Order: sequence, then structure tokens, then C-alpha cells
Amino acid sequence: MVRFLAQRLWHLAWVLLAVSVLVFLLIHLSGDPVRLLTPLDATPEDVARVRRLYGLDRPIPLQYWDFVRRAIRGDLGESFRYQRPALELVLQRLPATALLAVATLAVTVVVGIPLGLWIGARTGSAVDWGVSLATFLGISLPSFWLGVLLILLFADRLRVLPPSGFDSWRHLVLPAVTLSVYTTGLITRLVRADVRGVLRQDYIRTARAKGLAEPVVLRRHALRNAMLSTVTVLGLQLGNLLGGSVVVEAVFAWPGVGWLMLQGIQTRDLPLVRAVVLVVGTAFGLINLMVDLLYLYLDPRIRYDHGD
Amino acid sequence: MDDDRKELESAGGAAPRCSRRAFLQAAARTAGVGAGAALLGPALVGRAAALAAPARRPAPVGNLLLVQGVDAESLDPHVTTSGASKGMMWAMYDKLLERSPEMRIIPWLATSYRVLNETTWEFRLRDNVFFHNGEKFGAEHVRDTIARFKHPGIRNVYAGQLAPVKDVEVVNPLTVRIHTDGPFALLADVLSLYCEMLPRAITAGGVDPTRQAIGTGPYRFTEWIPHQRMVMDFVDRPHFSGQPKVRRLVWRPVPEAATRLVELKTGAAHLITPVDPLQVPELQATRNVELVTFRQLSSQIVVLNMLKVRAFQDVRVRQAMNYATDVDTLIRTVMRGAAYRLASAFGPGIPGYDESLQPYPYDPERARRLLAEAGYPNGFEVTLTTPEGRYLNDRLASEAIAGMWTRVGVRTRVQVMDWSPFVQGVLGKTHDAFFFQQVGVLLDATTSINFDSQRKGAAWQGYHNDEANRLIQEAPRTLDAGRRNEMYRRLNQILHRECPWVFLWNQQGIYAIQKRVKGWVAHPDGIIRLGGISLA
Repeated sequence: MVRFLAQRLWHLAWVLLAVSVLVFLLIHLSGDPVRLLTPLDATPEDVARVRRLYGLDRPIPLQYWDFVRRAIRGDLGESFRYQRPALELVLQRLPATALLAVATLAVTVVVGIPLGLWIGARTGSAVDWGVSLATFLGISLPSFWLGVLLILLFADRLRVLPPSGFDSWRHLVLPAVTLSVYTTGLITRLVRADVRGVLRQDYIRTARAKGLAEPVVLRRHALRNAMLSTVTVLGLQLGNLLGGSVVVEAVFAWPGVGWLMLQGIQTRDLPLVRAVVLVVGTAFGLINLMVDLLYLYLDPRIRYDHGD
Repeated sequence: MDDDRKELESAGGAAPRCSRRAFLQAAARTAGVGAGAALLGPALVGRAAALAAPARRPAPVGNLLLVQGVDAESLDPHVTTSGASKGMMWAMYDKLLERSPEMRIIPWLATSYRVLNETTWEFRLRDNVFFHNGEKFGAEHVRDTIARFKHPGIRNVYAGQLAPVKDVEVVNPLTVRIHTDGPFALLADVLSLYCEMLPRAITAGGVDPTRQAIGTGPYRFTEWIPHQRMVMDFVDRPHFSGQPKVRRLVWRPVPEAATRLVELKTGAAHLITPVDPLQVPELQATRNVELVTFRQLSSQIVVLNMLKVRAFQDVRVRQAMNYATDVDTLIRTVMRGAAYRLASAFGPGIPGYDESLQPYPYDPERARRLLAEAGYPNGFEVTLTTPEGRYLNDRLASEAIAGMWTRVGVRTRVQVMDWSPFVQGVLGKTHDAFFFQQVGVLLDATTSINFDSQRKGAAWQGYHNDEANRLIQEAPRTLDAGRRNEMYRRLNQILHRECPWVFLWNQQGIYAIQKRVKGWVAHPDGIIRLGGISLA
């Protein structure tokens, strides 16, 4: 187990290194950052001075080497736009994004898994058709459109929730619901499909033949076996949510990582984009690792002792 | 020397009793009177000082909630560039000079200035002004602030605006002389838009201005949580522009236009900007909300690249492109009326604006005839490049323009680009033609940077005219304001005749505010000034 963990963390370090190279190159390939940092009416002298100030006049490999040397010491550079340490900016936004991600995932788990289990045991029924259609809609609706719609309904018409901001739990409701409509739809459909497959297995027939009550069969035998793929997808969704939902954060003015990254990309704020990608990449890797460990609990047959 | 020789002594200048609005009006009037004010100087100041005598005003009340599309870039006023940031900065910081709602230069921390000779300007400073940390403002602050503004280690992308300043001489605690390395007619213009005055605590490096704002403005910095809010509280000491009437300012960035609108309707915001013209009917139907519109200074144009498209080198073709563009229809349909037709390179409010110039009428027949005369009876192919979402309805307008041009034989394909490659193309001169906004606040400097065939700035795409170049070079060095304006008028006339651009419109700026907000005055530069604002 220890060897497995060490191996995964070592892999994560290499992945982050590769990602940092990619981000570095992509930012430079997609345009001259200095021309976006300076107004179009800046004098050529000011443009040249800013280029020197940010160290962007040096060859790209040298810039990258400098970044790696600093990153090892935990210094991811200073944001061009905000003139503050990029890591500090990302870590400031991370709690807001994490809160939104956890709230979204909580709604997804609390609603999606029982719903999927319920309709999975009733496939072909009217309820199954109705819920499947609703989840299909949930997956298909663009979150931007849904978010604005919810604002118009709950903030403008009904005046029960604030349209945007980050001051109380009431501000969390609309963005979390907007995001969870997609993830809940996804998980519900996944659980439904898995439960439907598991219920055809012989061991379920055996459980029922033993005289176990149907709720026990569903919870203990069907759901647990159907959870492997669900946990995997939940892990991936959590990773995505920690990366920040760019659109939803912008619609609800939610001060998270996604909105920060959007601004970083728009202004070619290289240190900021790099810091967001590295922090989110690390979180993503660690979540995947946790998902792998969760497999051990869900399926005792899985072992990581032999490097599998 | 007209205006430049005028001293901008102002009754309002030393009178804390005046509201900012009244002050601005008084200042604008005074600036207009000019030399008379200079002669009255000492007497007037004495009278103003008497007027400034103690007067109790009601304490500021309420929190003003302002929602803009973007957040501040920084707390350091010398590195902020966007209008949204400047509005926030100018509530806390003051400059030597300001702009009235009519964009006239008015006294601010400097009560007057005069040009002593071609390279020396003298500024008299306001007495009894204090920074929020208790430092008394004076001539040394001006010297140190200008030095910091120009310092190569500060990430100030506008440092070049004060490049001609050679030295700042402290004559006495309330007088400075600014020496330039040649005639620099734009000094007052620059100081009315840039170079917010800083205390020694910042210029000496003791306080990091990206974390703590210390100005002389009517509001002091309280907190900034990027992407959430910036909070400022009133300074409990009368400000020379009139004591603030609102206790606290809360600025919030909300990028989505629909969300901003709901913020206003639900009372979570008192003022929102920018407002999409599509939202105007809904806002007009909303009780307790009013719209404030103004004509922006920036010119929306299509730039024709003469380096890339040979046909554009012929003035007849460029004129044909203007005749082929039905700007009135574009304003009515694409812009929903939220724009003002531009006859030539610059609109009102910009030095050199010439109201006698008439817009090119929509005349496709004439356009075809000019194309044929120029040797293009069958037209030619061209690509019109546009960013998407950068300017209001940029893509939509470009597609409509492409249709109009194609109708006269100039077969036009629209290419939509992300901002970054778009800018690369503008600067690399690789677009055939592009939809563009020419910023026009500091016309003189902007023109010389953007449009001079020697400097080859953004809007210069191969156009060359010896007289235009000479005017662009000489005007910023011409201290006589009358002569300088005449030079710009001449430049405008040349550009109107030779049309290196297709002249489109000045966009309409729109603020939506709750009716309980009183005393709001919009400035054409789109930057929020809050002096006289109050909450009913």
C-alpha cells in the first residue's frame, strides 16, 4: 500500500511537470502576453519596458527554468494583473470553489444515488420514463442558460434568493443547484444503469431466494456493487468542480478559481494560469488517489500490493 | 497661449462648502473665463478662503452599492488602466487636475497652473489637504509621485505619458515647477487623467500600495477582497470638492449583464454599469430605476489595411467603402439606437472635432462608380476581421457591414477572432480590414502613437500623408491651445477626406441607477466620479 501511494504521488509530480510545460507553451503560442498586458495605445517604449519587467524578454526555456527553480521553493511567481503572489490568489479563491463543489456534490449524492437506485429497480415503468427524461434534460441544459433562468425566477420574480455574491448560505443555493442539475442527472442515470445490470446477476437472485427484504437486497447487494463506476465518476466530477465552473462562477459572481482562471487566460496572466492549473491539477490527482483507495472499501477483492 | 496661459483659479477650488457638482460647474465656468480668472487670482482666492470658513454639513449616510462588470486590477493607482479601476481609485486618490463632465480640465489638487516658458510649467497647490495617514500634501509629494510614476521598476504601462518630464522643482511647499525636455503641450491633459498623488509612506517604499491605498480623496480604503468587493468609508474631514454625502462605498464586480440587472432591480445595487442596450426597455419599465446615457469618446471604426490590400491604397476605394456602409441603419438595427453617428475620425469632446464635417451618406451607386474609376469595376475580395464580445455587437455589426460591402462588389468574408490573435494581427498589420475602437480621451498622444506613419501604432495600417504626419508630430509640441486645436481640426479634415478608416459611431454609454441616488453626473470617459452623489 505504501509503495502504491508513493508510486502514485511520484506519477502525479511528473504529470504536474508535464502540465506546467504545456501551459507554458500554450500561453506563449496563443499570443504575446505583453501585448495584452499593455493597452493598445501604450508607447513602444512602455511595451518594451513592461516586457523587461516581467522577464518576458528572455528566451522561453530560460523563463521556464526560472519558473521551475522558484516552484520548487513554493514560489509560483507574481500575477501580472494583480501583482500579488499567484499561489496566494489561487489559495484565496479555493475555499469558495471547494464550498461550491462540496455543496454540488452533496446535492448530487443525496438526490442522484437514491433516485438512480429507485428507478433502476423500476426500469420500464412510468416513473422510470419520467425521471429519465428529467435527467436527460438536466444533462442537456447549458448551465449558463439555467443559471440566468434561476436568477430571474428566484431572485427577480420570487425575491427569495440573492442573484449573486458570496456572503451567506443563501448565496450558495442558486450556483450549487445550477451545477448539480447536470451532475445529479449524470449520477442518476449511471446508478440506474448499473443497478439495472446488477439486478440481473445470480447473486441478487440468491439474495432474494434467501428471503431478504427488497430494500436490503437493493442497498446491500445491488447498490454496493453498482457503486464502483459511480464513485469513479463522482471523483472526476469533484475534480472538475474544483477546477471551478468558469461559466457558473461568472454568472453568479462567485469568487472562485474558475472565474480567476478565466481572467488569467483572457489577459494571458501566465503566472496566474500556471498556479491555477498546478493547484487544481494537484487536487485532481489527490482526489483520484482517494477514489482508488475507496475502491478497497467498496470491493474487498481489489488489492494494490502488487503494483496493480 | 490662451487656455494654457490661463490660471485655473477657482472659487470652488478652495471652498469645501461647495458640493462637487457645484464645484465642477464653477470650475468649468472659471476655466472658460480663463485670463480674467488669472488676473483676479489672489483676490479670488482670498474670497474663496473666506467662503471656505467653517460650515457644518450633515453627516454622510448610507452605503452606496456599485456594481461593475469587472474588478479592479490592482490597488496601486499607477498600474491600473481600466475605467472600472480608475473610478474606484479616484474615490480614494486625487490628481493634480481633473476633468469636468464636459471633459474640460479643472483644478483639483493644483488650484492653478501656468506655462512659464516652452519647457517650464508652474503649478500652485491646494493648501490644507491631508493624506489619509495624516501627511500634509505638498510640493514634495508632487515631485516624489511623478518620480515614482516614471520609475522603470513600477509596472506602469502609461509611464511614457510623462516621459518628456525632465525634472520637478520644489519652489515652496505649495508650488512646483515641472521642467520638460522640450515643448510638451499635453502635460495638463496627462495630469488630469494620470498620476494620482501618493504620500511619502508609499513613494518611500514603506507601504505597499497593492495592499493599502492612502490618498487624499474623499474616501479611505477599508478592504478589498478581489472578485468580491472593495469597500471604502468616508474620510471624516471635509474634502475640497465637498464633503461626501454617502458614508460607505461598496464596489462589486458582476461580469454577467443579466445578473447585474437583477442586482439593480432587487436593490442589491444602486448603480450598475455597463448596461446592454438590449436591457434598456426592461429597465425603462422598472419603477425606481432611471437610465443615464452619454456619448462616449471612443471612435468605432473599420480600419482599412493599405499594406495588405492594394485596392485600399486608392483614396477613391476608401471613400467607396464609406459610401457603401449604411451607418444609420447599423445604428438603428444592430446598435438599437445606442450609438451616435461619427462623421470623421473623432466626435465631440475631442480636440479637433469639426462639426462642419458631414458623414458620408449611404450611396451604393456612388460607391460602385468610385470603385470602377479606381480600376475595380468587378470589385475585389477582402476579409473583415472582428473580435467577439470585446466591443458592443462587434460580430453582428461586422457581418452586416460585410453584407453591405458585398452588395457594391467588395466580396467580404467575416473572420471572428479571439482577442489575443486579433491584437497580434492588428499590431502585425496582417488583417485586411478590422472592426476597431480608437480610444480618444487623450487624443493628442493617442493620435501620435496610433496613427503616425513614423510610429506605426495600432490604427496605422499603411496610410501616409506628409501633412497629417507633420500635424501629428507638431501638435503635441504646440503650447498655444488655439493653434493646437486648429492643427487637429486640419488633421480631422484630412482624415475625413482621405478616409483611412470607415467612420462608424461613438457608442452610447449607459448607467442604470436607482432613483434614490441623487446627484449623479456621467462623464464621457466612462469613469465614475462620486463627488456629489447622495442617497435619498
